[in-house]
Amino acid sequence: MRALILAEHAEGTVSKAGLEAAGLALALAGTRGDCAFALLGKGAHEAARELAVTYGVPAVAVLGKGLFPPTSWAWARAVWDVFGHAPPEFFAAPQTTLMSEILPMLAARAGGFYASGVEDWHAGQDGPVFLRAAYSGKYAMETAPRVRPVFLTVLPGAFAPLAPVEGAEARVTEARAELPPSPVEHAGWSRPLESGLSLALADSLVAGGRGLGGPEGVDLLRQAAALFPRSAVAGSRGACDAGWLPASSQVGVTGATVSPKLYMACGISGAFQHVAGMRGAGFVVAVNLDPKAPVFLHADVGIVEDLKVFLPLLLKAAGENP
Amino acid sequence: MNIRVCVKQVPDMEGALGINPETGLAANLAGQERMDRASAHALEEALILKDQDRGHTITALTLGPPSHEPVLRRALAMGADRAVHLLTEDAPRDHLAMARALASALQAQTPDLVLCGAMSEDLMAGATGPMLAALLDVPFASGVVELRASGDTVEVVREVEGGARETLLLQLPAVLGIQSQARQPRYPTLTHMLRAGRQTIGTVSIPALETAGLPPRLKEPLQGRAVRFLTGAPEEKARDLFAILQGKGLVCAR
Repeated sequence: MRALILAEHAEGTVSKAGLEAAGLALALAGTRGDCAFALLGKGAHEAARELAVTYGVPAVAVLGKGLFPPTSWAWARAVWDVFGHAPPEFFAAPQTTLMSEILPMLAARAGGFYASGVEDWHAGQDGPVFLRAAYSGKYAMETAPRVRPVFLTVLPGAFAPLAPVEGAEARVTEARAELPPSPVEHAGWSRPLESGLSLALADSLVAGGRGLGGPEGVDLLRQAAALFPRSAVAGSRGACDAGWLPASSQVGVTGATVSPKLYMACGISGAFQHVAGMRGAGFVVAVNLDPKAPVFLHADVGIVEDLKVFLPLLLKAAGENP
Repeated sequence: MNIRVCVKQVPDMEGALGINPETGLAANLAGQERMDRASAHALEEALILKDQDRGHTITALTLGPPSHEPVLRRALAMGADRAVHLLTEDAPRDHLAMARALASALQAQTPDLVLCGAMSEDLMAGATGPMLAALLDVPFASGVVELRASGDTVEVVREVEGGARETLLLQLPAVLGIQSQARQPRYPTLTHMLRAGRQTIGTVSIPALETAGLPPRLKEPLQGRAVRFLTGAPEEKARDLFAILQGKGLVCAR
């Protein structure tokens, strides 16, 4: 086995982001037989069987006490307990909160190489070279391992998911991890009071970021949103953290994932955490004073202006077009 | 409680950036550098703990070249009690090397709580916290937006995907990655600034460490869509944009 795929699973199913990580793992390993899925915790057996049957990739169900609810402490230990004696060359996982803890923990333990948020890769002279965002998205960074194993988290949406293969059932095995008592206890989940449901249902979103400059900018967003059908106002982490918009209107990794027909990003720099939440939008307009803002890399139309100047002009232009 | 906060100096990313040919890293073209935002939030959380219990001691820790001393002066001016500079020749960029250097400095006297930013603005990897925790063999949680310390445990609320939150209880010692949030990091006070100016900063020389990666190379970022920039006077751009949106049927019919 050359590449191990770690993925969270729910009711026997692995997320799309997990299958995208598997897509990269397959590209690195070469063949499906050289890859394996590792599934941990409740439902690991069901998920392992499902994956082996659907994708023709061997799957290992890792069982043990304390693996559900998942904690990075227990999962990292369990993975190393089972695979650490003969580690594969590559470990790949989706860039989720849990996996963004586990993969670097494993890399430190193994003395391995870690790259997070991998968006692309190519074969270099001395092995694979990975591409990821840096400096608030203003640069892409090429990073390459000098050592093995290589631990990767994969940016959701960056790679094609692993495709199913018919009639290529692969082996399912079971492994047991022996874990010492955990110093981490999961004490519950909660959702913010308002969910991002209204954002998910909107056909048009007008979103603001730090460039709003204050709560008064929000009023402009509302007026602009009124130009578009089934619209709502959304925000970036910066605008929500500043308290100009409620946390429930946050779009991005730790907020809502949206795919409206129109997404208008105003005064948003476009860090990948935000882009991850809106890359599925139909048509994207970006308004930002900084022509180098990474948001323009994810926009169909770009306007280099201060939103406080531009939005009133847009409202005026709309008024002239009855 | 003995609290260590890892703080990092980064180029000011609001200004124009260029690539420094010597280090291969990005630099603010005007030489402006500042405390990483995530670091500032981590320090703020430590200061809030200290506001509640004056018995805590906060030590700010940075790993970097001598030119990164200002980030420690800033931390002292914000209210950290002490500062330690782990001196390297260049700005560090290899995650494993950085975590090993920090771990060796912390192992001498294991603190009760280590706070880091969840993800720095420059390398954007979020690797230091979890690697440090693994090397110190202590629990870790990232994306932390609330924390309460009591006795030998810390209760944290952290953000996970899709706006959900998870509550975790971690036994101390522990490492936490602090997420930026509604609480804004405080500004330096005059008293602290005066003290910060005079205070001695402890230094530890860090030998060149073996890296797990080859030196990274910066490139133009990947383009997701082919953007078309509108040109002309602002009024013209506004009219053009409205016409484009109208043409695509994205505007309210009236």
